[in-house]
Amino acid sequence: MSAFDKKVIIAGAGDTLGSQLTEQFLAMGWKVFAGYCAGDERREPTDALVPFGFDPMDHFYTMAAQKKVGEPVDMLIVNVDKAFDGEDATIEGDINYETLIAAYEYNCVGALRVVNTFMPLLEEGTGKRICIVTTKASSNFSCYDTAGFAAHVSRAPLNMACTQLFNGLRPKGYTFRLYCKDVENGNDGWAAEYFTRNRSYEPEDLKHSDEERIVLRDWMAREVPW
Amino acid sequence: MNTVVITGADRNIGLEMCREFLKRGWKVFAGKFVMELSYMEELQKEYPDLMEIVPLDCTSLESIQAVAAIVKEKAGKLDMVVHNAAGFGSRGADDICGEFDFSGFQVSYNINALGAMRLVQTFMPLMEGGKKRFCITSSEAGVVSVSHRDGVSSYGMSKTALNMALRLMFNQLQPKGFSFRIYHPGWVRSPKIERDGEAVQVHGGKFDPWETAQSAVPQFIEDRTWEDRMVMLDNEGAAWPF
Repeated sequence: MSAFDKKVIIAGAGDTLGSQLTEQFLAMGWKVFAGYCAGDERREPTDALVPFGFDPMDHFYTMAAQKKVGEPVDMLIVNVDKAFDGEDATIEGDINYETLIAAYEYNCVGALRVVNTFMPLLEEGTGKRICIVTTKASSNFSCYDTAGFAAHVSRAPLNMACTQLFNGLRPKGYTFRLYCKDVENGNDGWAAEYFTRNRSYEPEDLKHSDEERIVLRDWMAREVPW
Repeated sequence: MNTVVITGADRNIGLEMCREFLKRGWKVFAGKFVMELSYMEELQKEYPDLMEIVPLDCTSLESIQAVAAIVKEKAGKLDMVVHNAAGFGSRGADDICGEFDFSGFQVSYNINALGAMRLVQTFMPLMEGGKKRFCITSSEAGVVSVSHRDGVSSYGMSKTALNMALRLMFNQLQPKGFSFRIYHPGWVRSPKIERDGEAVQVHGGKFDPWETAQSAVPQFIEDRTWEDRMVMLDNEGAAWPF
């Protein structure tokens, strides 16, 4: 029998938010499987922390990570969002389409690849919660920008993918958290609470229950429109 | 004479959009991508002076630039671009828990979203002095708030990406006199094709391609007093959130 009641995979534990989440989940008594990308500074393993390497772009490498984790988990946190170069160009400027493809493959398809890889471990666990980290750049409604194509156009379709995942997996007992990080301003202390707290204060079969719909929230818990 | 470039004009909605513009006396540069189809050539016989068939691949900046050179040479300026070409990519499995093929996700994104950007970027300089209008076929499949699909669809994701790209381009270009139409064609059935000696409907639907083209083209041509707002209208004139 495991000494830990709750287990989480943090895919993307090496950046500012990932490190913060790792600390918070360890402090809450969770066993943390901390996924690091190439170049990340890894923490040393302990009874409560199992570091592993993964790459959102590489299915086979990440499959090896799945084997390293190798036990049921309650929660998967996908924190593989990153910024790309050339973000000051408007449509009248020098658009690098290869960068736009790379950003989509990493921020959107890469995140889905991580979910797909670790799903068997979530299936065996009891928590069944998927948490995805993105940014406000994914919100079309909130967008007044004229540049930043890689940031906006790579992230918006992840919101659609998460909605499709929600539609398919909520009936199977999964719950979702979609979170807009705010690393620049150091405002992400609430993320772990958002990920772990059950949000529904009403019977969960009610349509407007927070667990019966998928929402995007920022660090102040405000709902961000799609 | 008004001029328009139409992508994805080989068949179905794109072909019928060509017909609607031609009926109204527009000069149409019809983008051909599927070389083995000849519907465009048949239509051209009806409008030999108005219809130009140009090879056009929306994933290639060079291909679009080549079309821009043809338009510049033959018409001097361009009034409108209609981006109707669409890539469907791979839908993947219904179940994210199982084997999942991500290899096709880039296809629909590259054609549907980045294709629109390449068209806007390339044709903008030719549109000064013209109607300065970009008309883009999007879809309810790209609207997150009403998404009902329960399998991960690269097509729907690509349309969400397209809508975001349009937002950024609208924010930049609308103050400079460009206008945009975002069009949801409705649930359009494909023409029947012959398979094993039988006529088969590959995709069912509520409307024929000619019906949605007849709804689209007036929306594209008519000016609005509210061009400072970006909306997605469907073939029945209803506005969709996005």
